[in-house]
Amino acid sequence: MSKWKTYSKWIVMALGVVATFLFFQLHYPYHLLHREQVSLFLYSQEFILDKLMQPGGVSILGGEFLTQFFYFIGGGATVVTLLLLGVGILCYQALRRFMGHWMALILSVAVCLWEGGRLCIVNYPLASTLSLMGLFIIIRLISFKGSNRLGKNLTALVCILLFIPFHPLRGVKAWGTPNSYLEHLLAMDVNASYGKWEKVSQLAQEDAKTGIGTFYYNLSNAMKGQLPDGLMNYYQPFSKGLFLPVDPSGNYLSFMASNELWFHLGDMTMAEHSAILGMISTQDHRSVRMIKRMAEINLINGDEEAAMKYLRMLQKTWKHKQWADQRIPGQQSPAVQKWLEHKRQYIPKADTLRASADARLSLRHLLESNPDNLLAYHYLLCYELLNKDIHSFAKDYVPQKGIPSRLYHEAILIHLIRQNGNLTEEDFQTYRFTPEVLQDFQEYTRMYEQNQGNGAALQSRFGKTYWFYYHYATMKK
Amino acid sequence: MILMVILLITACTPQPENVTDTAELAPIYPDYTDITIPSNIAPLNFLLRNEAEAIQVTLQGEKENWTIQSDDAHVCFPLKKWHEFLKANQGETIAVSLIALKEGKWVRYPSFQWTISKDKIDSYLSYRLIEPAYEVWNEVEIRERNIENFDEKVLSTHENTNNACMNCHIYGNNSGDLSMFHLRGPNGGSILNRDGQLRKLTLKNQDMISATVYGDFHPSGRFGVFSTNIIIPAFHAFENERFEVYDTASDLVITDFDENRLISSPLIADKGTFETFPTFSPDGKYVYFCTADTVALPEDIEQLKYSLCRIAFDAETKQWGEQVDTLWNAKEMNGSVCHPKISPDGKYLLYTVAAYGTFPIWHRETELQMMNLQTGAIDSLKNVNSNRSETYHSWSSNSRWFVFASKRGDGQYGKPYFCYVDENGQAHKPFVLPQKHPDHYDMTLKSFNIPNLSASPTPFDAKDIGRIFEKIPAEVFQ
Repeated sequence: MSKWKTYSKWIVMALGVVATFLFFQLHYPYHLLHREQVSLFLYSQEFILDKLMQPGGVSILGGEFLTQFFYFIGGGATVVTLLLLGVGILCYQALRRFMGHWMALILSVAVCLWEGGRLCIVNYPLASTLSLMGLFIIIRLISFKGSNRLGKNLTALVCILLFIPFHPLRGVKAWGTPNSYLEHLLAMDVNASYGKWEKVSQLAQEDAKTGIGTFYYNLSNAMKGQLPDGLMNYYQPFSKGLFLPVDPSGNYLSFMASNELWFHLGDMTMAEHSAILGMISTQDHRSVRMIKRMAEINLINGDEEAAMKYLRMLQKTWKHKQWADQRIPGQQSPAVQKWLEHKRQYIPKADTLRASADARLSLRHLLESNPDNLLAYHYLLCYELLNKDIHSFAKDYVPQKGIPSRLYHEAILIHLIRQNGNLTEEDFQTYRFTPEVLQDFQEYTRMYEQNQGNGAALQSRFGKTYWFYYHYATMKK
Repeated sequence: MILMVILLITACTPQPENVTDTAELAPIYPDYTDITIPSNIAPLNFLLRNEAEAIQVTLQGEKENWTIQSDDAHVCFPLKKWHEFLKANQGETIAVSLIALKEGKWVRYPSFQWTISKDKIDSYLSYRLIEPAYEVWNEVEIRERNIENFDEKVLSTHENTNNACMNCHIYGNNSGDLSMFHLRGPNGGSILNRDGQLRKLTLKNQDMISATVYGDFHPSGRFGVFSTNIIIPAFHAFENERFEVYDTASDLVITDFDENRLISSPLIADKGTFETFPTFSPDGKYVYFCTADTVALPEDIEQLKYSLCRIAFDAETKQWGEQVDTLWNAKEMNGSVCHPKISPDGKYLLYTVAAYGTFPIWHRETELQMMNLQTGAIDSLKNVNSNRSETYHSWSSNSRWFVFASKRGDGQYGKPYFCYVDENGQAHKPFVLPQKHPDHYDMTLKSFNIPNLSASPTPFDAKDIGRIFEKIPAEVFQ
């Protein structure tokens, strides 16, 4: 082989490695971080044997083993890069049996691009990439022309059993390309699971008016204590941007998103419901993130036996064992104990029965148990406002609670004017309206009447007020 | 070569030395201490919760001893030798002594007992494997396990039924040749297996409030009795009470599988009462069921209490009886009865009692009770019940064993427990279905729903169900 041929291999490999790593690390990291969250590799005899005994067991077990490393920043990009490098080298070596250097090199690059595209699919199993590598090993063995062909063929047969699943693996598709929209969504989802609300908020601002984008926008604002302040500055598909459905119409991402909300609100039943649905809707029905959440929920509820079910599983993992050890009842660290005490303040102190979609009843119930649950309070008021239920809002609104919000002032003005036709001195004392909101209200009313209800004239100045939403927002079908 | 491997393995298993006694009970899981077991049960593999480094277990029978060693915290008995040992010690009580290596020291725990009953248990157990979710399911399977070993057969799977929801599988006469389950959704129907012939049935007509739900077979196999229920799911808010299901209407209906007829009775179609969980008496002359007066729901859910009643049925004339007898009065007993099941010999009636309602699986207070139908005496089964729910029981054909789903332990995942009822009607401490890997229950995220016992295996499998689901239209019932 000429020097140029040798160099060309190394140049292609080096370029491929750098490009792959940079792509997955900089442009596609959340797909990989998320994939670890919806997997669960257990260092248990039954788990490992169960995987190994399947056709292609080495690929299946190896794929799940490697997915653990996606937990680390850079871990996913490194693993994916190395796997694609392996695919490229093995493919080249197998093809060289049948063709010349340049054709083999070009085809190997094409195979790497194809497999790299498939690795961009959110649920694509690494087992499939390992199977592909196994396939190239088998081709190379079968095409061996030496004297010990029997030995090579037997080795190839063993490789088939170890690497090639006899049935299609879940999540495997023939073709895949990067999905920037999903990457953006997963970025919000993963950062929400880390509690990085500033980052979630920043990402949500860039969202292209989707229901789940609004959900994360509202949740991140709420976690920063700014839910009402930011509500009208964003696309709001009525209350669907506050609560995602936890029913058969949802998917595992919406279930996991709902879990975050209900968990922070303090409704452990709904948090558990959405966590289980999130878990069973994932590809393998296992999610280390949801297992951790189930452990937390049961610890908060004081059901230690139930929590131990999940903590024992986590103790069989590599990266989450320490997390579990710190939460074992009787061995909890002071920080964990303090966190549990804090979370327990917000859970319901009495029972009620409700449908899963009855967010209002759930929020009111949380507030009955703990009137200081400001997250539930703001979600309740905003839920009512987005549904244009001014009457319920007026009943639930407590002017003395928290910092006065312009949104609530705008809404209560509608209520007071509708009810009494005018504002009384008592209204001014109770609601502590700012001069700006009163002045704007007068101006809005004047312009509304002047333009005979034509919203276009009001939009530039009042498009982000509740008055405008109340008059003009309609649900898109 | 083989000898070398054996020597290597033997060399790796530490031998007990300088053993010290402890008064602490061995932390074994599952709890297999001091239980009665059938002579045909699969090996009771277990583990020690204290992460022992090695274990030596000795089973001391009247006729022989058997010692096995493990080089970790898991104890797994070889299947063939296990059955030989149980056979040799039938009717005996054996002592199980356990020595464990922990932190470099050998410790001998107090021994416990296994009483090996000569009364065998039915060898096959069907159950639905499902995650304990509410309202939504994904990938449900019905399986049948041979409980003499660890073989398991998939009877129906989501893969062959377009991920349709499937309700639990019931046997008639404890026989694999008579069984049924409901497949919901498009292409669904009630799948009836009679002598291996599979039929798909639409067990609903225009007079019924819903398709059939809970049910049982008549001993002839010709009839079935079912409830029809309008089911409402709702969520509790407090602690881990989780989920409630209640009916806003429910009735009973008898199905004639030969003539494709649905037979109802005005006596049990009263809109002012709910009727559910019907079961035939072993002689087929009565239908036992649960009934409650309607209340305002969901606000008065805690006042919803079901009594246990029975009504006659004449298989010759296909007529319901004219009178309803009450066996267990909910108002007097201040509870709510579910899931009545009569032992095949007709002596005992086993049922669950919850504080209220008709969906006790998330009620921690739910307990099994057993009524002696000859004396009316009620056994509260104190050594059977736990602090979690015990529900959905089924008898073995010899009436000496029953299985039930218990949420004991983690409270969330139901597991099948077996209980022995001796000739005096005394129920013994139950034990969980043994698994090949002792940490199976720790690691699984599936719940075992509605375990049902059968003396013989079903003659169909998931492929047959897939075929009937896809290709066979459901038969209409009038």
